[in-house]
Amino acid sequence: MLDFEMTLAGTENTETQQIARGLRQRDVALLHDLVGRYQYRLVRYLISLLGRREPVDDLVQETWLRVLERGRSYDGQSRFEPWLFAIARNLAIDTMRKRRVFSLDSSDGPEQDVETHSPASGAPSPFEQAARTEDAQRLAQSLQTLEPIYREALVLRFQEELSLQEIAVVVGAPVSTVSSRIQRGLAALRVEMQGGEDAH
Amino acid sequence: MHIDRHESIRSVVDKSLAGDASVQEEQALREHLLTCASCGDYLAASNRTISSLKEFCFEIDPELDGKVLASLAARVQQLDAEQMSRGRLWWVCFTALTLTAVGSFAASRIGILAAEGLHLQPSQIQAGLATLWTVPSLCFCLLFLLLPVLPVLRMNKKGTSQ
Repeated sequence: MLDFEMTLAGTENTETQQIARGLRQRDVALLHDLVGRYQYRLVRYLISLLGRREPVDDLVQETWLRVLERGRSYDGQSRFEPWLFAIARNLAIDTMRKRRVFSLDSSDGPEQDVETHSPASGAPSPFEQAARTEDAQRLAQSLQTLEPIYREALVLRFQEELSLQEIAVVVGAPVSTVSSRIQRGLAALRVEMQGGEDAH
Repeated sequence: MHIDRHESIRSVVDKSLAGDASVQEEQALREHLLTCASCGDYLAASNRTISSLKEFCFEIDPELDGKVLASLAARVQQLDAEQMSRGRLWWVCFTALTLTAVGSFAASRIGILAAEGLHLQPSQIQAGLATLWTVPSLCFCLLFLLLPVLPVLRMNKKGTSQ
């Protein structure tokens, strides 16, 4: 069992080192492969972070360009996803700050300076559009109104399946803060789910 | 007391789902769940919430991959071209510095010989050489060294003025 885990870790390590090497060499084939593998997850993360669809495609493009330009700073010692999401997050925050619509600064308290943005009135939110099951539809509304820092923590933990330490790297906050954001976010959604079930 | 126990177990459920529970807490949770239906329901509701969260399926613009790959390919070409011209500039600079050093050394040797023939002080010849040859050549080389930095400075200036 231990041997298997060590082999698995070794394989993962080799893979991240290959990515680091490819990024240093600006290997176009590797970039194609990375885009193929991580594009959907990047889109999903950015939509969840921003709660809106329209700036996401531009941010995705900018993120990949930044990956190319800053590729040398990825050391291949840790997984690629947290590094990728951290780049996307910083770009998203910069872009939204320039537009003066959004703040997700980890130095602020979780309740401070965070605005929740609903899509234009009448238009379905990206979550409502993405909900495929009845439960997901029930969750969509509360996800849209949930504060972005909690939504982000939930998505990174349960959709992207990052560890607490990896999420802490992405959001630039202590592990304890990340854990508490996940718990609070989950509590808010659970209440919504149970409320919906009771109403049925 | 009994309610407190359930509340503390539910907070362990949350911690466990967040991935933050200790081995002892996980063990206590498992033992409690064997006998407590209401905390089991709480865990089940949490798991259902997480499953629903995973069921969101966003549609992606089918042209996005193509756009991203095209902009990456263009940027790679641009970066390669920049790197090549920067490399060329370093070589030019290195050559200019070498020529300056070799030329200054040769001029100084010739200057000493000329000073003997013309009955002048060698220090006068060397001061003239330094003023008219070595210093201008070094300034020229430094200009080459600054050339790769200039676009970056210009971009920074543009960035701060925006």
